[in-house]
Amino acid sequence: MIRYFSFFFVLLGLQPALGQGQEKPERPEYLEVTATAGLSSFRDVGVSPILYNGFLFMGGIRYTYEGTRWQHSAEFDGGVGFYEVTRFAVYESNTINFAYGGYSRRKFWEADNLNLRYHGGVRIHGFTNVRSNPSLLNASSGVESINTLFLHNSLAWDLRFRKTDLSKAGARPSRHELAFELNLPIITASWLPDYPYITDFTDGEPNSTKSHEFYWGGLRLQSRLTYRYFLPNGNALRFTYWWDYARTPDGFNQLDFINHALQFGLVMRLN
Amino acid sequence: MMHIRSYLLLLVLAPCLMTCEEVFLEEELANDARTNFEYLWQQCDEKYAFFEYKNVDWDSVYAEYSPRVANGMSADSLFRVLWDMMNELRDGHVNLIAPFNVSRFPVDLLGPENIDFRVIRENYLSDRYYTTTPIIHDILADGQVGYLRIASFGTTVGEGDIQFPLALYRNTRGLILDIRGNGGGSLSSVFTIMNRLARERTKVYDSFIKSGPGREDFEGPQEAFVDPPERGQTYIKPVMVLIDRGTYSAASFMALIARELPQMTLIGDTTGGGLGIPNGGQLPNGWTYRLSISRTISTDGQNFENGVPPDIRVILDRDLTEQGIDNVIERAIAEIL
Repeated sequence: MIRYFSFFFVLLGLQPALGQGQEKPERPEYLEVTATAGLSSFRDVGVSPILYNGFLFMGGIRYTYEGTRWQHSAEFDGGVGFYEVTRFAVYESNTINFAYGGYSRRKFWEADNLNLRYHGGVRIHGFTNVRSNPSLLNASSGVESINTLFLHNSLAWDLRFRKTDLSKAGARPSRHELAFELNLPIITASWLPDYPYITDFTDGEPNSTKSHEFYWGGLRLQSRLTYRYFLPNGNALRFTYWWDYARTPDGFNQLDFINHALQFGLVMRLN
Repeated sequence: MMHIRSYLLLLVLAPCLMTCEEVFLEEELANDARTNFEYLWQQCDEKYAFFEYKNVDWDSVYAEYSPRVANGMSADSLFRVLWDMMNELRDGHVNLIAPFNVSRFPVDLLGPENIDFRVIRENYLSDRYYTTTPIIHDILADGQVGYLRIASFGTTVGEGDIQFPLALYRNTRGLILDIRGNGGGSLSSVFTIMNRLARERTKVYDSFIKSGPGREDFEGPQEAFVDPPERGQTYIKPVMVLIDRGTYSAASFMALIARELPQMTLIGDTTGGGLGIPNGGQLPNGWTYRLSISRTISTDGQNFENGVPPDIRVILDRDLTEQGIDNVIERAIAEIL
């Protein structure tokens, strides 16, 4: 993984030399490689009333188009989670995780004097977990997927034109961006284990996806606080604190999922 | 200065959000004896598949056991009460698992011990019998009968595991499939074997699985078939399947399937049953449990949850075993020859 990121750091470092003197278009496109580490919790009422706590590690990729008015983004992450709970003994649950989504948003408001911009639009975000908990016997493995259409709100503060006393005359000021994003749910679709909560064995072959149902509703909230530091060539480093809460509709298989994650991204400008 | 304030305000938002979920997240159930008892009773009430079939009044069970539970009682005492309560279901697929103990209902003790493997080793198997995990096998009756002993389906039977003995005994007049005392395991192993012993695609049972908390909330049927594979070794001559009360769960499924195949004969004692597939779950105190949440119905509409009966009832004769004779195997050989 370190070698992987080193490669992209080199790319970020090389590109300024290659791009010097080139005129950058006003509609940048970015490709980003991300690494995410999170403190995560879940409770799957269908098999246990206990909240499991643990860690989630993911790697991913993201494409972003940032036009002067419209912006679009798509992202995909994959990783693993390690959870446990201690009662009389330590019970462990591991997950393979996939997260995916994107947004389409429009600039609605801008305050030039404060370098503030408000974007609104929609964000789709979903995650699918393949869960394994050997202590749950025949219910030890399962798949759940929660997918939400959000009303997307983003307030960004751009520090690009702000010179400090330390900046030298004639030098290009560095550009920083701080953005707070709040995603409010419009509709959530969940794909969860059905009542039996076990793999279907009828014909002797396990089929862990056969006994699943779609459910609409529940609660999902998401916010992200993002800091981007832009290099002179337009490449950037991104740090995001990401909070995600999901709760499927009340019922025998209600699922709570909470994730507090720190995401680091190497942002490469494509144009 | 104003921008520094804005910056700080945004930064302050992040830790504030970290406690947001507390507003929405329901509190965890209390980890005390009473809550654990109530939780387990309710899980059984809503998910167990055989209350009617076994004529169990679960509300009466609650009334009987609830007074025996009090907060502050020791974990071991609580475990014993919950064990007794779950054993009212008389089901080998109903267990409570704590770090210090596992509850069980001894289905195998409902009938006599019907196998003495020492007798088989000393008097029927050669010194160099085969072990093709998990199948022990050898040839009997002067090369006329193949004997396959499967003591458990805990180890998955691969295609190669069954094709080897079937190829080895392809010229015999019949097979003995000895699953006495086999407590079950992987159901896929049962189909791996039975597919290669079936003459044609045959429906073997219907499965109904719980779909809601009501007593008769089931979905199904899901039909199950055995289907001979197009490639590899198969065996379609007579097969005698030896069973007893210790033949349980996946092994009982094998007996149920054998009942549907015309070239197969069940010999021995009624199986232990266990044709309801158990789920798994966890109590607020972390102990785990399982209980049957499906029904398996034979093609002629019978529920053999309490055991699949033999076609020929033969109980192991202790006087004969003293002489080195397993009269169940002897009867199977006689049926083949």
